[in-house]
Amino acid sequence: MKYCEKCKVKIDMELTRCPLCSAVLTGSDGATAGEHGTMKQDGGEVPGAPKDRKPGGSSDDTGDVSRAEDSKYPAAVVEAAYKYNFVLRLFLFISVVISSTCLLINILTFRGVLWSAYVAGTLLYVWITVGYPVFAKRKLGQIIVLNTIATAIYVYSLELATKTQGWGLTYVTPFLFIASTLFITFVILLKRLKWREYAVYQTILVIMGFLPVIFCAVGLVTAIWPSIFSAFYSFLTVTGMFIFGDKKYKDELIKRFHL
Amino acid sequence: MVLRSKTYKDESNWYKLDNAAKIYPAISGPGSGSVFRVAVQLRQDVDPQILQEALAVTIPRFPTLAVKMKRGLFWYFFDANHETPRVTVEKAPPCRAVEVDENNGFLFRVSYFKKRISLEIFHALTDGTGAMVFLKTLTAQYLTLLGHGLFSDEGILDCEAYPSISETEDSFGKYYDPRIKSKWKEEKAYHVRGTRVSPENLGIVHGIVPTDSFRKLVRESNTTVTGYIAALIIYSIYRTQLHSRIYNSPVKISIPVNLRNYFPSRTVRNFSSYVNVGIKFTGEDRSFESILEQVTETMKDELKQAKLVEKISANVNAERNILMRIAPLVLKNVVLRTAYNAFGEKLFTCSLSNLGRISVPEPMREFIERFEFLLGPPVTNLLNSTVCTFGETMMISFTKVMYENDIEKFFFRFLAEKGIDVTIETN
Ligand SMILES: [Zn+2]
Repeated sequence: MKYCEKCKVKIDMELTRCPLCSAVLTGSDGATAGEHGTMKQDGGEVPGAPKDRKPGGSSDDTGDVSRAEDSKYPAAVVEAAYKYNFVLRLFLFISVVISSTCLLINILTFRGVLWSAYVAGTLLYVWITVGYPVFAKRKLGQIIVLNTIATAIYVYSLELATKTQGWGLTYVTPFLFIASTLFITFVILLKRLKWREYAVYQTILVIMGFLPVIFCAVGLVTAIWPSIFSAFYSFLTVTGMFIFGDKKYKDELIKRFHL
Repeated sequence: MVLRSKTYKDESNWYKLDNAAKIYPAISGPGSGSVFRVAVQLRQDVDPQILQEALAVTIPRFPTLAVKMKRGLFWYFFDANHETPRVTVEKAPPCRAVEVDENNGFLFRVSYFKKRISLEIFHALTDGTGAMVFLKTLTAQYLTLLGHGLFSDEGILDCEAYPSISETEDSFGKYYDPRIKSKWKEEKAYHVRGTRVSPENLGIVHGIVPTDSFRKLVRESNTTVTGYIAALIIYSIYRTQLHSRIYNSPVKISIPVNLRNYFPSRTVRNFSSYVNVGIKFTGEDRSFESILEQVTETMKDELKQAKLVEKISANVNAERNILMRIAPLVLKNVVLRTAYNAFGEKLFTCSLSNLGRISVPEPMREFIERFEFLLGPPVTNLLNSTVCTFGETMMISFTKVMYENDIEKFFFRFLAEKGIDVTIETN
């Protein structure tokens, strides 16, 4: 056991200097010969490069034998979780370059159409549907639900912006919902062990499948049958889930949707 | 036993996060995983294989810990995890975030280093007291498998018995008062100044003091162990950072309170609240004795059962607010994170968590050197502290993400000057 005369405390480690005040320690047992590295580390008591040092003041990176024998904590440090993602930053930069260049050209040669907004909107759409799932490593079910919502909004915005009502909300949206629901049904059949997870996304899509009927009711669409078709398909899917999924499906819904 | 663990696997247990747990998933990231550690230092090197066996036997007894966290549309929830958790060799730094794919989805990490068995656990699962029940049961099982006989009582659960409802209950929901609405209005606290280091460089300073001589000192000052240490931390910060300048924000110590001491609960989940004890320095010189007196008074006042009920009721009622409930999880996370960054740790300068005296059955005592307790890195503060007592060893530990060490130096030098025999260990 070493002792610090200044702090009047014992130090239960093979150090040459006090971890509290850096004073040279007194006390029993040698092993000082192998500790020159440690001494050097502790000598420079200026907060020059704090990142490389332990806050306690003891050295951790010399990897000397004395540490391994009497240390109270392992020296191996797990790598920092934070990573610099160059590809992400590159794509982000390219996106900003493209949209701002388009905006500049658009303004300088303005002829009544703000076409650069289409470019920016499309870029945003690609970021949400491709960029986010790839870089944030989302799960398949989440990606499908997110992309369905994003595509529906994108299509509707295009419809509004181009003043060409009668295709997006009327035909594309209902069939998009049907396609996504069908897709998840196939995923559930293929990955039966993970059905619980997908059942949740399936349920969200089924609820979305009834939305076109509301669009009908408020008169946003030009033809009614695709919306009815979407709602009917949702009805069939949810019935199937309850019949085949049984009590487990109900339990899963309670868990996932508890308030 | 084989039979019982089979019935356990057939069940599909799931749990809502308790009131205290709900904040942690929102504020946890790679930097601060809201993880704390309880550990036991044995007298002999740990045998990892036996420890693995002991863990496999122990975990089914703790259904609220044998879970993985899943996302619902409105809240997270804990779903039964039927895998077996793995024992790993300890790696630095302590109390780093438990990654989802690290341990078969379990939200804790059992590791060994030389003679130490460590349990690092996500705070959403349980508090210090609950974690200690698990660690003690695991240690007892480990010693039993080594052939040292059976151990019972003193908070050790019988791994052959079926988990009881009282152990898995959400006690907040049981003891809150639905009529008390939130009315917290707390002052922001003084923030310790220092050079922040990354959480990978988490610094740990343990001071080991003899329980008896420390208790004698505490008794002479007419206070409690926690009161004395809290006052000394305030005094250390005052003397090393504030000097005699005037500060508008008080130096506040946040002290977690084990509510099982105030309500008849046996839960292994979270059941703790906290009291904030603060002192405002208005320019005139303050002696340690005057600070100690004020801290002791405030604590006595804050630790009345009515005040604790008020605090937990405010939190439970805030959580059960209909707007809070129907907000989608994504939105909740943003709101909770923002609120925590804006208030949370800004309401106190340093936390002080005292796990109290750890008791084990008498025959088990000879195999155990001491128990340890550590908090993970604070999010916006720079330093927190813990106390854990076992027999003659009282461990006062500081966990910090700052480079300077003036506060601990002052703290332990003060104790040494009072005639206490202090032994220092660091990482
Ligand atoms: Zn010293």
